Amino acid sequence: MSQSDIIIEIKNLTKVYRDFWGRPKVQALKALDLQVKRGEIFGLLGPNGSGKTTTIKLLLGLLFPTEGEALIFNEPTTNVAKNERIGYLPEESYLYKFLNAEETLDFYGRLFKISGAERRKRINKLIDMVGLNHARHRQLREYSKGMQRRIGLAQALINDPELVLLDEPTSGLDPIGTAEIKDLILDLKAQGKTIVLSGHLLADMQDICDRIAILHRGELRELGRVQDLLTVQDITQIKVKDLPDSAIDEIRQVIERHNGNLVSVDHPTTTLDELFLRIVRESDQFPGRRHVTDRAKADAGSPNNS
Amino acid sequence: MTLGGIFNNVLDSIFLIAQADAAAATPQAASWLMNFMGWVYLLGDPAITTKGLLGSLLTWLKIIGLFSLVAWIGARVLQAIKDRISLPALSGLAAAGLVGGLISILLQVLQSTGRLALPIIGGVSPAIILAILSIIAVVVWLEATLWISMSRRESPGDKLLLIAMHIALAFGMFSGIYIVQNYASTQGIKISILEGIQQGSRMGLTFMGYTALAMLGFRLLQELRRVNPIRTMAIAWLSRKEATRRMWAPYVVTAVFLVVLAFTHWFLQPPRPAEMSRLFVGTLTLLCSLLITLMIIFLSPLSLPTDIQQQTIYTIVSKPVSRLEMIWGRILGYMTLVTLIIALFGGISYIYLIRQVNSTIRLTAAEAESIRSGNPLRATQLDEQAEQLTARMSARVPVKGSLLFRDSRGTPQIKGIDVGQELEYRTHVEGATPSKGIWRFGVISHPFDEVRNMAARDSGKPPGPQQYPILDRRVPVDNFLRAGTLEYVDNQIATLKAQQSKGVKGLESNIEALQTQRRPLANKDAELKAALKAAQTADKQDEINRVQGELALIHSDPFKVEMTFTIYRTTKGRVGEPVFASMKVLNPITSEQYENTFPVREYYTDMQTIPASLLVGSGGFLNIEIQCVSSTQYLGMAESDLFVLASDGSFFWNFFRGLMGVWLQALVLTSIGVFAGTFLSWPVALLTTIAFFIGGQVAFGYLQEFAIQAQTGGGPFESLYRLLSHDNQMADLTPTLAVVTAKTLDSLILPVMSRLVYVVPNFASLDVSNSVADGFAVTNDKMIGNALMAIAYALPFSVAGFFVLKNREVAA
Ligand SMILES: Nc1ncnc2c1ncn2[C@@H]1O[C@H](COP(=O)(O)OP(=O)(O)OP(=O)(O)O)[C@@H](O)[C@H]1O
Ligand SMILES: [Mg+2]
Repeated sequence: MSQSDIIIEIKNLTKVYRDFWGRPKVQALKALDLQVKRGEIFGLLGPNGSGKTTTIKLLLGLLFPTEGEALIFNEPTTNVAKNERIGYLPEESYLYKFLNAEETLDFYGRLFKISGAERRKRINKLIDMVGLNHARHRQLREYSKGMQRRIGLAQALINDPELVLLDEPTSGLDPIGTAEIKDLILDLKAQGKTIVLSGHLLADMQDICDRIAILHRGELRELGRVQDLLTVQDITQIKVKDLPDSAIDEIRQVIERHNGNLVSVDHPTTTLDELFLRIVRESDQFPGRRHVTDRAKADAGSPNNS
Repeated sequence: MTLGGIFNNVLDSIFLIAQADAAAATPQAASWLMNFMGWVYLLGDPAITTKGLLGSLLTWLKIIGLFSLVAWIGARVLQAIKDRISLPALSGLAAAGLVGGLISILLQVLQSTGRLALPIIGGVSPAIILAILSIIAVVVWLEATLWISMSRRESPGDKLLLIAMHIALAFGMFSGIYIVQNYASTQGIKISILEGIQQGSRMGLTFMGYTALAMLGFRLLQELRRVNPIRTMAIAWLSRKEATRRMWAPYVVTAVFLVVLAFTHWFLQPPRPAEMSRLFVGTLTLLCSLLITLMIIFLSPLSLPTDIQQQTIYTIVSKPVSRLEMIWGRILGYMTLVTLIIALFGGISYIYLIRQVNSTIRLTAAEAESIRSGNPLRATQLDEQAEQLTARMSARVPVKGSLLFRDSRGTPQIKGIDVGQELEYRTHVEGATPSKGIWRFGVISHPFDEVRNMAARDSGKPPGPQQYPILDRRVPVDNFLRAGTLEYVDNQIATLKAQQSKGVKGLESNIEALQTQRRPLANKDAELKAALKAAQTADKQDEINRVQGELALIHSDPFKVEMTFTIYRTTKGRVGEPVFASMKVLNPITSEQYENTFPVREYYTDMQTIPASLLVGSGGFLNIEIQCVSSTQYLGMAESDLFVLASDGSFFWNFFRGLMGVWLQALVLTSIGVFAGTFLSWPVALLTTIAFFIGGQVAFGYLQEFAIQAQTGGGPFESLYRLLSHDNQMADLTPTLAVVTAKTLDSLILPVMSRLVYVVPNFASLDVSNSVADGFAVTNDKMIGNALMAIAYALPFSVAGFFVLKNREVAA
């Protein structure tokens, strides 16, 4: 994998929130190591307060790390020039309430020095895309939460970024909106963009993420390909069709004798929910740092085929 | 002699030696070194400066440099403390240094108040030794902390800077010691090495300040390459929208302005009709400045804190926006708003003013006309009022002289008679006595010197040496004498002849040429004067007018002298009978004189026209003497009450300049507000901005006194003690424990405060509306000076804001 394919490189990133006197208050992130590669959808998962938002803020230079460092496009986070290629949707839609949708996008577009004509084109496209055409001239203070979320997303895409950081993109959206956003994210991926998402709506993440990292209390608990993480290796699941009730007792024999209508034999997957709950429960039972390897890498040599 | 005095002399002696060497042209080895050291001293001593723009620039750089130094070291030390990197041994050292310093100051105060007599060890007081040890302890602690914290962070720039600072300190220290020792040896006196070290550290600190400033300047330049007008204007646009849509600021301000304007003529009743324009101009400018100031105070310090608090700033800093753009954009946005509002208010005020005053002038003139036959006295009064109003609606450029007096026995005095009116800054000359006020113009000695010299001359003794600086109060003769007129040519001839008498050779042909030029003019003059006489005897009005018109062509116009005197009456006098003043204008070079007696218009401006011939050959020198003719009456006058009117500018442009003053004030205040918002929560930022404004507007004089520590009654703690103990400000305090404590605290706080005072801008001096209201021109120099001053504050504040914002976590 060439160097330029690593979009985000996080090394030993640690963040301690301090009070006014410099005394440590919360250790929000403990020695995080991560890499995000070009073109993938990367999910940051974790319960509330686990450090997802802190990680994203550190990546953008909104916070300064206590230790360690993060590189985006191989640039330090304090370099504002790199922001030309980044789109960011904050956790809540912190936008200027006194502007309307069009003005908002126009303003952010100007911050990227996008020319007037191009700006108008993109604004129309984005407003259309997030479905706010009917409300484009209303000030954001009149927007519902979901509408704010949508304009926030449009704002994050105004510069056609290479890397999109979305902090809980689906929070506050209705099911249709959620589905639309998921489609949109997949669409962005298809355009070759890299996407980092955070969230705890696991079903959504399960569908779209290529890789996920699970954080708990500032520590990395799990990291790998969604498919690998959710595959249960030591159980074999057999799906059988049209088997009469009386035959249940004989299943083992029937199978031994290959005398049934065998549909499939494979490993079952749990849901991400179960994995998540297990990890949280385990790490509550056994606190302390655990070494996490990227399962994708560890398993790279042995594709599961049993 | 104080240390400061010594060093002033050092500078003199260094430059003098250098000059003497140059003059003697003896190639001494040390000459260039002396010259160099002179410059080093000028650049390095924080309290020394030169005249003019260079001097102001130097002082500015020194102060900004020292602030950069303190900020840089302070930030590093704070960071080190927050990172808990200090070793226990180091903390002990710092504590010991601080305690030692306190004890040393206490000892010094005790010694100086006579409560304690310490033995002198090796020619030095133990208090001083303790002070030095404490300083060493603190310095070692500082060094260790800085180096350790540097080694933890990978910042080659900072390390380089730290090394550069040490070089600067060493250089300053060396030059300081060298200069003091060199001065001591040229003067043949002995100065302790301690004073050299003290001077060296002062200079070292200044050079360290330059180094820190250079580093910050470098970082700023790097950032400047990122600053883009499109983005800055986008931020400006956002601030403007925020101000209008969230705060409703311009609407509120405009509404208040219009409401007040609508009722202006109700509560603005001028005490005299002639004061009307003055009152209106003053009030309208004040209203404009007040509203703009309020608007700025509520907009600029709130913007960044709310942006941070409401987290809207996240979407800005995650875009490619420089922190400098965030600051300058805001300033630009608010200043655009301010510009629009000032233009609006100024336009409305100007139209309102012109209409009001012009209609008053018209009405007054009409009334005068209607009653002229019935009540000529009242008609003349009304004429005067109209004339006064017209005079105030202009932009006069006064040439001011230097005033001194002779009292009723003819003795020279610096002041006239005090008639016991508390609030009156004018002093008086007594009527029908030799008492008079004398305004001198030209390159003249200071009135303190002149009063002494006049007394000496009166009694036939030679005048003493000058002790005060020479004043340049020359009348700009060339402005008054029109080219091609008789006076103009005469003046040129006189100037050349004066040079000739000083020994300048080879001017004969020039004088000859001028004489040739003069002859036809003189002939024409004689001709016309004869014709005028003939016409007058024949009483032919048309002819008189024609000849006078032709005479005016070859003569320069008479120049105007304006005066405003007050009258203090000891007897009522006869009702309606005016008090008379006599005026004598003397050209001290040619002894040509002009005399006139006129009735004094109380509170109004008197104007006298003086023939231009008086200026011929004066070289800008002129004496104007005013006496009171009416007995038992007193004429009150102050230096600015009489001036030669150099020219009359347009009132519109002057009014515009008055508004520019408001604009400059707003610029400085905006930068301060935005700066405060970069690191304070909004209520604190708001209070800080208000404090700055009040400090600069109201308390500036007091703060300046503070800066030079020239207060009577000691520093804040001593003053507090005096307040509580009912001691007056002059009394020497008995050195009780409380007094000693107060003095100790003062000596700790005063040096710090006196440096901090420079942070407060002189808002009052940016305000030129008084001159405008009085009908005096605001000069270009004044405007340029004020603009430079505004930039000198706005720039550092905004840049400081940038560094704060760059180094703070906006999401913490
Ligand atoms: N500004 C702050 N000051 C102090 N502590 C903070 C601050 N911001 C976050 N924290 C703490 O840091 C930890 C991580 O917070 P963070 O916001 O990163 O969590 P999160 O994973 O995004 O949670 P959520 O799912 O609720 O958004 C929490 O314990 C939180 O209390
Ligand atoms: Mg979060």
